[in-house]
Amino acid sequence: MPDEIHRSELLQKLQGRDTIESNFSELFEDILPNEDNLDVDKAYVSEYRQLVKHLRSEVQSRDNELVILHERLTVMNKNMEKINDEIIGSSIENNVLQQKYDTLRVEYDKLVQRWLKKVQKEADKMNEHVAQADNQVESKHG
Amino acid sequence: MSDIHHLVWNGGLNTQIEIDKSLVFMDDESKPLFINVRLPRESYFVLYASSLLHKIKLKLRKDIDEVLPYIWFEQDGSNLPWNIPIGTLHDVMNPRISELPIEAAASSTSILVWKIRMVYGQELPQNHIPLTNGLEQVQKYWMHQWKQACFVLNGTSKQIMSMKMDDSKAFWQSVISRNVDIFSSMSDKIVPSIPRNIPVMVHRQNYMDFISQPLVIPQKESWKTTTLQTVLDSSEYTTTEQNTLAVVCQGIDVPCSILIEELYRDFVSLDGFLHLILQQQ
Repeated sequence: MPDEIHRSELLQKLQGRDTIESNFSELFEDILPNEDNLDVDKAYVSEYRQLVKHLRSEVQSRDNELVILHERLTVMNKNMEKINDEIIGSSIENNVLQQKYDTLRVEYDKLVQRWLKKVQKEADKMNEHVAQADNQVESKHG
Repeated sequence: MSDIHHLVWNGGLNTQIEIDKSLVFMDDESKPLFINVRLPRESYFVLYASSLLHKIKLKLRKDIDEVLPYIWFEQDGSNLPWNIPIGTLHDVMNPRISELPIEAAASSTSILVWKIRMVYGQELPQNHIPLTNGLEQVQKYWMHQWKQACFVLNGTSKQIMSMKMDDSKAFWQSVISRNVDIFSSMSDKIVPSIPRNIPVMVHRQNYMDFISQPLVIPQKESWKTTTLQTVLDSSEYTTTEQNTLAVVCQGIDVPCSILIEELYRDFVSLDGFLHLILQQQ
């Protein structure tokens, strides 16, 4: 009877499967569908249900707060980026202005030097004229 | 009911379920939360979701009813659809026992643990049927599967459609309470002594989305000569690689020379279908 042979072979295989798959099954809790832990003390349940309800609403409000803070942080970060960009722009502008200022300063110093030289020359000339005039007056009287 | 069917119905799996961190109160550095349970092969994950959440209810961030529609199970990132029996999901995603090292399989100190994750998220995976109506939806889905199976077996769904309301309820309750005697007495009313066709679902190892329902008709109008091999021969997807494939059912290799009708009667799942898994040898 080939089918009888098959059946005993399948039976053996299934028993073998169960031996292997049930090793240490005591470490794994049996579970019922739709279990609601009815055996747990009712007072314990109501007390903890209240507590859990309270904590859950607390968590919900903290989660909402977190979301708001995250949004705020994002906006702040964007502002920071904007300010950083502005700072970079301003320092570039500052550098350019500094260069311009340095060039102008050198030019200005040169002009002042030239002007001083010119004034000095004029003063020397004037002194010369005054000295000549004095000499002429003295020689007339003398 | 045969000894074999008894073993099929009572098969169980040592399962370690890692809980999604977003479900419970814990910071990023906390160790993951695990639940170790023994799940029956012949049931649906979704029937245990609520019980599993009850075990960690004091640690949950939200109410059970609030999270239940957004829960699914996965292994190595692949969704384990709730509408396929647990044992079949295990056999699709894991190597068969005969493939394990002999010393590991035979040793009484070795332990087989199925490691899966319970995931929570608003965006459900693609192959997940959204649960909008809780257990009622599961019951309707399961009944629909039986209607399909009944049609394949009898050429009509009359047997299940004309079932008394009380019988119909008892049939579903036998799945919930895992009462094999009631289940068998109800399914016997649907499965005829000489079936017209056999309802079979073929899965492929590691492919959760691959499900094929080949037409299994008796060879020369007799089930006495129609073997599993005949079914595989008539399936276009196995012809090219038949020699390299092993057929797994309920966690064990089944010989291809077995009569398909007998295989069905002994190995039928809770949804009225015979779930076969093609694995590489």
